[in-house]
Amino acid sequence: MGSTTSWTREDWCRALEGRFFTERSAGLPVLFFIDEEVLGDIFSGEADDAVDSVLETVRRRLGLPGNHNGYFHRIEREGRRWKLDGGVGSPPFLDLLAVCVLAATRMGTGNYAPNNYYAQLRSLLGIAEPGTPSGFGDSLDYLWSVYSWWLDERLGGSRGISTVIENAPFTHIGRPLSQTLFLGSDVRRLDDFFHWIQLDPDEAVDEDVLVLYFRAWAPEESLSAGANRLLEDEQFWPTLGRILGAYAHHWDGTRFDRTSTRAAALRVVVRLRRPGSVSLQALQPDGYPDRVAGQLGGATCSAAVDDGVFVVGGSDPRYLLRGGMLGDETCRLTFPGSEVHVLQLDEELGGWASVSAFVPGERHFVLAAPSAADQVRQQLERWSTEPITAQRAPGTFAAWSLYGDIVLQGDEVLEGALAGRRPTLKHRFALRGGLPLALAGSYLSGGAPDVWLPPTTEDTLWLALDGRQISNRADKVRLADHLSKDDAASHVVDYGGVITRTVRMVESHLVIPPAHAQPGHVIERDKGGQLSAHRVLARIEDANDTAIVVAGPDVGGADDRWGEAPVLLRRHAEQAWLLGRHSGELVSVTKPAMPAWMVEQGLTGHLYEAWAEFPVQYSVERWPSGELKARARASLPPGDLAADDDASDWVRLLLAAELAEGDPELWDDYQAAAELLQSECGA
Amino acid sequence: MNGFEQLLHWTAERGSGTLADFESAHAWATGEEVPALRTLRVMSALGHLEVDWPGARWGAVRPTVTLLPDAAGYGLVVGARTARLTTSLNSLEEPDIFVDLRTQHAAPDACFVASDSEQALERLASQFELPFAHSVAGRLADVLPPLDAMLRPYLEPPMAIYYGVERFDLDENFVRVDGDTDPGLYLYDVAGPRRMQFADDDGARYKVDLAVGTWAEARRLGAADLLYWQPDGTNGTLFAPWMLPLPVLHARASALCSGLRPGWNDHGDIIYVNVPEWLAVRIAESLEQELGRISTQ
Repeated sequence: MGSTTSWTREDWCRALEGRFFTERSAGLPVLFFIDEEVLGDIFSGEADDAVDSVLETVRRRLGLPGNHNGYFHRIEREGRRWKLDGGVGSPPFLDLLAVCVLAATRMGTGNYAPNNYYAQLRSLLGIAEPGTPSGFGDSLDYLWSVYSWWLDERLGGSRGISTVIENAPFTHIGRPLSQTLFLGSDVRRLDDFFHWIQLDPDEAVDEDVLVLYFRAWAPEESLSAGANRLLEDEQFWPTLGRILGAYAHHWDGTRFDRTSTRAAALRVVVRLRRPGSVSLQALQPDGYPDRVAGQLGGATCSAAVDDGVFVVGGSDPRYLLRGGMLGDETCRLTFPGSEVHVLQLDEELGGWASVSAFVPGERHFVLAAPSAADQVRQQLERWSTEPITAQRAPGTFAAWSLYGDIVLQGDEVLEGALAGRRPTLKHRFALRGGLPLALAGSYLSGGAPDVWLPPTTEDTLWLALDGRQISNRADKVRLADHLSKDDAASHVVDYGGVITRTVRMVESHLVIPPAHAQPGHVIERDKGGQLSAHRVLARIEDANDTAIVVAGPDVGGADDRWGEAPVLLRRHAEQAWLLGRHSGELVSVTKPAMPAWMVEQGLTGHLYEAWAEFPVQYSVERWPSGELKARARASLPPGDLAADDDASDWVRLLLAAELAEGDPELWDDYQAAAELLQSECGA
Repeated sequence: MNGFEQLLHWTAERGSGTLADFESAHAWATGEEVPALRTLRVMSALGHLEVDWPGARWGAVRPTVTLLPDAAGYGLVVGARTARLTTSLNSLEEPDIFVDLRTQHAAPDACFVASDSEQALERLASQFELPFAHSVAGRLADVLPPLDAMLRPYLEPPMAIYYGVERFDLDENFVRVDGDTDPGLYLYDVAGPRRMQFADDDGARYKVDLAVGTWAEARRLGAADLLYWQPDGTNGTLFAPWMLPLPVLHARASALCSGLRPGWNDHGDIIYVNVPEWLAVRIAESLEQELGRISTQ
């Protein structure tokens, strides 16, 4: 038994540490809950003696009201020194924090108003001065922050994580109050809560999202008064989020504490490889026995473990239709019967295993009882983004239908037996879709994400965009419909005043795509020059220097037979010729018909392509007026001039045409060359 | 704006990403009008994107200005266009250039450029610091890999069948089977995207995509009459069976003859318009097919 004279500050701080912050709490949120009973238990004596003892150690270190930094200056200095020394051992101010929490648990007792915290604290500390004790805010805020630093950073959560959340807009008393509100009975209810939101073990859900769901779930439950206060008072939501988040992180899918029943879900597993099978299975949770028995579909059956997986003996369609439960009061395997089971490939279970709902974009099978097969098929054919397959289910389930290759987008309206299976992202609040850019939270203008809202019993939960309420229905909300297509601003998405996300719209600012590591094609030649190997590289820059590389329309490293561009001639001209720099280099061009595909597309081009075997210097076109118009296609000087038969048309066209486009001096040179040839051959 | 055009702008602005990124953006922008991976194949054929299928990543391709073959002097902007580039092109006020964005079904817009001359197209490319290549289809045709070149680097051990397997049939498409010991093209159920493997007559196994796998299987079965070409004025239309899509470079060389996404006819054939006969022959040869000719009558 302790006594008021035998316990020093060090004794109390060490004892408090031993009570709350142990290895058993590693990774879990710790509530520093103090009342008279807890202190008495720690002290191993009467509660009143314990309270007197701890008060004595604190009072002894209080300053005077007129002191610089108020009553708590000395204890704050002890805390600073301890932190600067590395935070070794017990925090020397745990006793003061315990007294502050004790004042919170005493609220509503004595001759004080129920919400009067400071009166309780002054009474405990023997402070006669009315109002907030001098220095309380600054010193205690600091000491609570050191407390969180010690647990979360110095100890890295190995003895629990702090549930004291810095929440600047609210009062200093929020921190001690927050430690008194979530009791053990509330923690035990979290099991039901996590099942309700279909939380998967290892699933990461944001703390504010958990608070939102908790607010939707809790009104129907019998939680402690403190927990209800956590829900009602916005200042405590970060604390509640911390508690929920930490427990969610440690949830193994069955239960939290060792006093409640554990329950794991059985899943339908379909194997398609011949001969095929349909069975009920579950991964064996830690601590479960190797065999459990119970009832499924009204029949007695059992499940035995084979290589870490429970497999239910027998295969009876009644099991799947009516469901049931195996196990006892400590460990259960449960299965909700249904005439429709949605399946996803599960490597751990080695087949297509049932899931609660479709996941958008993922491939599924659906196993449907004869009573539901037709309506299921009709809906799946209507909504699946890929053609579905249909076959009989294997074995004793031959009367059931198995539909495959089902991919849903997420906002389909499913009815009847599929009503509860629509993709809902498991009812999480989520920003999904849109056209996200590399920077987190930023989207290309016109591509704002959709907001997925969870089901809720609260009509008051509104989705707001920049403070403007836009929806309170559990559904998908397309934010892009509420913003202009060229919007380039930041927007605040708020749900129920709990979840806040910022969405930044960014207008296009690039002319060409950023040069990241680009995939591309590499084609290699063998020694004979034949194309011998084609592969796709994740990064085209990794290609061998001698290889041919292709990225989009660009071909590099190959022999280029395509150096010379075609000449574009005008379709309205009656006739056209291409002339080279050497006399006799001449080709007469025939105008092709307009391609039918272009007519179908409504493309009305007035040009056509023409090629010559030689580099084209001029094109000459004859217009309906009879005029001959020449256009330069290159800047080559006149070449070899030979007065032979082939030169006559070349000479005639150069002398008859009028330059419409090109260098006049060069044109003069060509006309002079033509005149020379004409004079030589007497043409 | 067409959702597929918006998707193109996004790919160009992002530069690269995972297939999952693309599927998510595709679902949002297009409403899953068609499967995302089909759109990815179309955008790859149109030269907008390159796809590293085994690595499950895509990369946006820098745009190029090209001249369509025998297409009345029309040019085409090929590659991933950002919204900014597209807007700039669309608002050009040049006397000899007109940019014509044509909406397509289930594909980004075709960005045609009508001009007065090839020099005007070159000037447009220069103005936006883009390359100009007058014969993209011709350049691609020169490097079309033959079937063996597409198989050889992807030799691998047989797949293990854990969940289920389907076998390709030229008449029935994929059909679920009990095993994969016979030669053929197989589709395996695995976690994530399904895997394909081609088992040749000599027992060799190759990791393939749908296009290479189906053409390899057609060759193995001696089916060499699957590609057709029909003249249409200067060039013509190339027909490929819907179950045998052209390998990506073959599809790209064909699609960039018109800049239009491959279409479909009433028989379910995939059709490419404005394909020169010499290119159709080249494609058929590389896939070990004998090109059939369809009369225009």
